[in-house]
Amino acid sequence: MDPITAMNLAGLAISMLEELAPKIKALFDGGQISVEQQKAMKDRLDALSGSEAFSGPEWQERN
Amino acid sequence: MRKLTSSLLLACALGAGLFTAGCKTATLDPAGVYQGDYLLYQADNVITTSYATVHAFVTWEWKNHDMVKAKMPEAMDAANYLRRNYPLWHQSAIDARAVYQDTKSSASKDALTIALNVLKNAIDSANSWMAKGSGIANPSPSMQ
Repeated sequence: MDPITAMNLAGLAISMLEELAPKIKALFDGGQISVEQQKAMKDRLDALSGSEAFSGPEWQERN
Repeated sequence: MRKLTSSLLLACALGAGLFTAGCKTATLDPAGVYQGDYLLYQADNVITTSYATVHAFVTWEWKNHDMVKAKMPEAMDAANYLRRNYPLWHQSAIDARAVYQDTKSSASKDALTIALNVLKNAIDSANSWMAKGSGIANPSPSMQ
């Protein structure tokens, strides 16, 4: 594996770990997802409920 | 570098394993907004995670379009496929979530589960293409 690919994969792995970190923390906290963590999750969903979510140019098909 | 990458991927796999385990064993504080309904929490987790992942992929393809088109046109096709379909899947899952939240019926639970599985497949697809494409253009985590 060339170094650039290795670094990119490492970046992806770190990104995935960042997504998983709150869930891993919940496990170590006794497996219970706190009120604050639940609110944070709901806020993330609500932020996606507007019409802006798919309005960016990256969502336009390109050929 | 190879050792570092292997360690990070191993850590990631471990994290994924813990997450899987968490799906089976984690509980919700009943005072929270989900009132103890783990499926609702899981639905929001899948919906938001799939959006972040698919958005990262289509943004990566958009920023590197000419290079992707020249070197990996299949990734461009995959990005366009997700651009066409993911918004519909996303809305379907949100709609199914709303019906389940209102009715808590078995049928609505099944419909939500199916909608979430579609989003999980989208996550797998986007992750797979970003991993394949990492050799030709950097999929920066900051794009998410």
